[in-house]
Amino acid sequence: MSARLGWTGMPSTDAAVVDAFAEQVGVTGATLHRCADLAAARTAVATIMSTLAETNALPAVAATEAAAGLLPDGVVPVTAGQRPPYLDLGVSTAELGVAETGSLLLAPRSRWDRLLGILARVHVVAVAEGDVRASLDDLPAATRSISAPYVSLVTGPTRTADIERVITIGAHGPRALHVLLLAEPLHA
Amino acid sequence: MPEPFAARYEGAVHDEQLAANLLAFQRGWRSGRDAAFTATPPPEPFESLRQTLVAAKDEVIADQATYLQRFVDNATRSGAQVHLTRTAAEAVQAVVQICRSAGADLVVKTKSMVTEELHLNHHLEDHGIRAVETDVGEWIVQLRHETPSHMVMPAIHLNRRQVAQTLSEEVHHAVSPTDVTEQVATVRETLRPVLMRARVGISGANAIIAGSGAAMIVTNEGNEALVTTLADVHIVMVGADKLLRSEEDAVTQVRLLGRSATGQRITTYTTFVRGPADARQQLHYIVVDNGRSAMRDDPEFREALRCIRCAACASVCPPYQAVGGQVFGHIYSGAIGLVNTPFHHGLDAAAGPQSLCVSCNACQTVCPVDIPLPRQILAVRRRVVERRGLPRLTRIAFAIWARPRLFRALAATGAALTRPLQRRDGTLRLPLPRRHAWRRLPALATTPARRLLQTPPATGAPAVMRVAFLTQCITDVAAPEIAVAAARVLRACGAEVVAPESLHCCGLPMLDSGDWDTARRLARRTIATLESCRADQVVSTANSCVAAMVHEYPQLFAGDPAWRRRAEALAERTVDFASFVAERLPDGAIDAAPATAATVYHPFCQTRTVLHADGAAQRLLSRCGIATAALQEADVCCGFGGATSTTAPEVGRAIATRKLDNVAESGARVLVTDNPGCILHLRGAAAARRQPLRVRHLAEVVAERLRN
Repeated sequence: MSARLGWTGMPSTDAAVVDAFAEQVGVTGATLHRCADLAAARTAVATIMSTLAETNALPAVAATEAAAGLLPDGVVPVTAGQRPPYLDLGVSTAELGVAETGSLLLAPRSRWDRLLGILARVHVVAVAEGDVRASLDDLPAATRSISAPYVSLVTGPTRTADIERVITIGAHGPRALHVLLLAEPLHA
Repeated sequence: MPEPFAARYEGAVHDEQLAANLLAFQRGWRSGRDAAFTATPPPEPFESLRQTLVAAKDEVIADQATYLQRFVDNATRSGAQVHLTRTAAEAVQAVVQICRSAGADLVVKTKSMVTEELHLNHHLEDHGIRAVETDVGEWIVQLRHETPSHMVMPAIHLNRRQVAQTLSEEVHHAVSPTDVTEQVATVRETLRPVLMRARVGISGANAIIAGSGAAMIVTNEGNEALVTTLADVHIVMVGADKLLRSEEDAVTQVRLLGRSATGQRITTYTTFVRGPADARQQLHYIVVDNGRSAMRDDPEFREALRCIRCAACASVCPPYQAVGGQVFGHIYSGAIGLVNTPFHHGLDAAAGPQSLCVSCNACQTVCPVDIPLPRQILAVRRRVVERRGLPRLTRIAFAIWARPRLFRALAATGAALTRPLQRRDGTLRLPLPRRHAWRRLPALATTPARRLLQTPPATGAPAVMRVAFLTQCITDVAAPEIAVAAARVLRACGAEVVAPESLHCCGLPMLDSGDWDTARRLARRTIATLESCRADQVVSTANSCVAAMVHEYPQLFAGDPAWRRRAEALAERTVDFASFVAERLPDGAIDAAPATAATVYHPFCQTRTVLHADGAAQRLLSRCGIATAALQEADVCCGFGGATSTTAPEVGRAIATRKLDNVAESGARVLVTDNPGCILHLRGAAAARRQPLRVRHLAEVVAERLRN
């Protein structure tokens, strides 16, 4: 079955939806990591961290409450009270993935949970295969039960084309987005 | 506040950098937008998707009070405070009040057209509150003390060199004039401390949702989350027109908005704000009316409230490319700016910008909510003329034009006087004022077309139907060969051609210029004369007149049922030359022969956008044996635009140049089209720049291939 989403409708099997999502994540300019389980996801985060460590400095890292378990052992996260203007890495979890657009649906439960995904130069978002939906049409029903002040679809790293329509990746928010696609549910 | 229109126009038309920047932008936008609807298509095609959103918006517009109340109830329940404001002053006052109680002397903002509409930043400054824009383009425009030139890309009129200069002055060090990434980094680094410090954040909203009390905000840069989440007070400024029923409708809007605005399937962030961030944060909605209720109550303009501010109508607009959004618009730019400015900023603010529309109707073809912008712009124009009267020269010209005998006499005198000035290429050796020096005027015919058509044809096959031929005025006095060729082709189709000499102007020039009284007078006369022809069909080689009779006459007589019925009956029998001939020309009637030089077909804009007859013309050309070359930007107007190329000759020149550059690039030496106004405009412009190009009417091309 073609993963390309077209006039003929959305992929109909769960596996095809997940594959379509994986493909579309790539189209958005994000980097996809398929992970078997939480441990593999934690390893992926560690690898991403190691690539961005600027010499002589411990990277400033933060995770949302739900994503705290994805931080590698020994990492001391930055907290809201420190009011950092930037973070090197932010880790979040998504409620849902959307195959149609390669988007992630985030529903941060606190101000800090929302901010850390924007202050971060590199944003990592974990989503479970079981939470991937085919189309944007699935969202209204799926989000009604979520109680959060913000519900936000994130599609690729931040960008601007305001100058000469030149696409510049990395505007006010992250210049890179990593999507960890977990074969298992995020919460045991 | 913008400068007066004349000063803005003067500045823009002599700014070659501006036109070059916008040409690059429009070309990129068009291919990106088209690819977004085809290469990464939405689940429904553009046409059905936009009708879905139209239905959703129209239902809310029809029942505004109910949905607005539902939004207020739901938003209030979520912990927000909703302020319904009727006027710009009330809206500004509400913001000032909130800032004062928060003790704020600094606010940060996301891009919001409604705050531009209210001149909010200036008013806040008057109250000692500094407002800082955080969208990259919007901040650049703010630093330059300009208004946005585009609703989505406020600084698209500038190039990176100009941006570097502005940024360097602000940050007091040299910013790279070539590296856009460095420029964006400069914006980010400069604004971050401001964002961290501000206690009030003002955002716009792309939609507010009655069913849930949420606001939808779409952005690419990520500044929205910083503006709305860091601050302890979040103010959402939103026009009442942004109201939607449900999140389902919002999904439809998302699918159309990104593709139409920037060629994206979806922007980086699509955020639904559903309440204050936490117990410490205040969330305020300022819902702005400021003329929207008046728009809703006005049947001519109601549909404009569907607008989702994607700016496709500017991105596609040829005059917009020539002058930019600070001229083609007031605060709101593009076609929608010509339409909504009278309601938000007064009719006088719209008077200058609306005069630049060339009626190519491209705007409606890409509008994701199918707003009848072309018709509404003509209605604005009519209202401007009702208030201010016609310009003196136009008034005199129409007084002559509306009198057939005087018109004929003057044309004959003009032809006699200018005969010694005729060049071999059919243009006049007549020095024109500097503003018109880019073109040449056509020679006038010794015998006008309407007279030529009175000569009975040599006997041929018996006719199977009767066709009334409408000779358009320009054809009559300056291109009679088109009418003569058309009559021959029509006869070859088995038609008896009737063309009473008394059949005069259809009224289109007056309609197009806002003088509906004169237009109606001429339309009534045209309808009556054509009725007396007792013809089966009415055909013309002037597709502008056909479009007027078929689509504008019923509007013209909207308040006059008897004439409206007659206009509709006429419209049913009226058809353009290509559609008629493509259907009826017998196979044996022509000898196909390839063109002697590379040929392009450039349809008159309304042939495509209103009559949908370009396909018939293409079929006819291929039956004639003519293979046409590909033409870049084939859908872009030639710049004739009725009176526009006369009253705003710089705009006419710019668009003609764009077209002729594309034609030159195609290698074509012949351009075939289907509207005499465009033909004479292109001939005159090509001759003046010495471009070897024959511009011909389709009828001539077919006629010269007729057997016998």
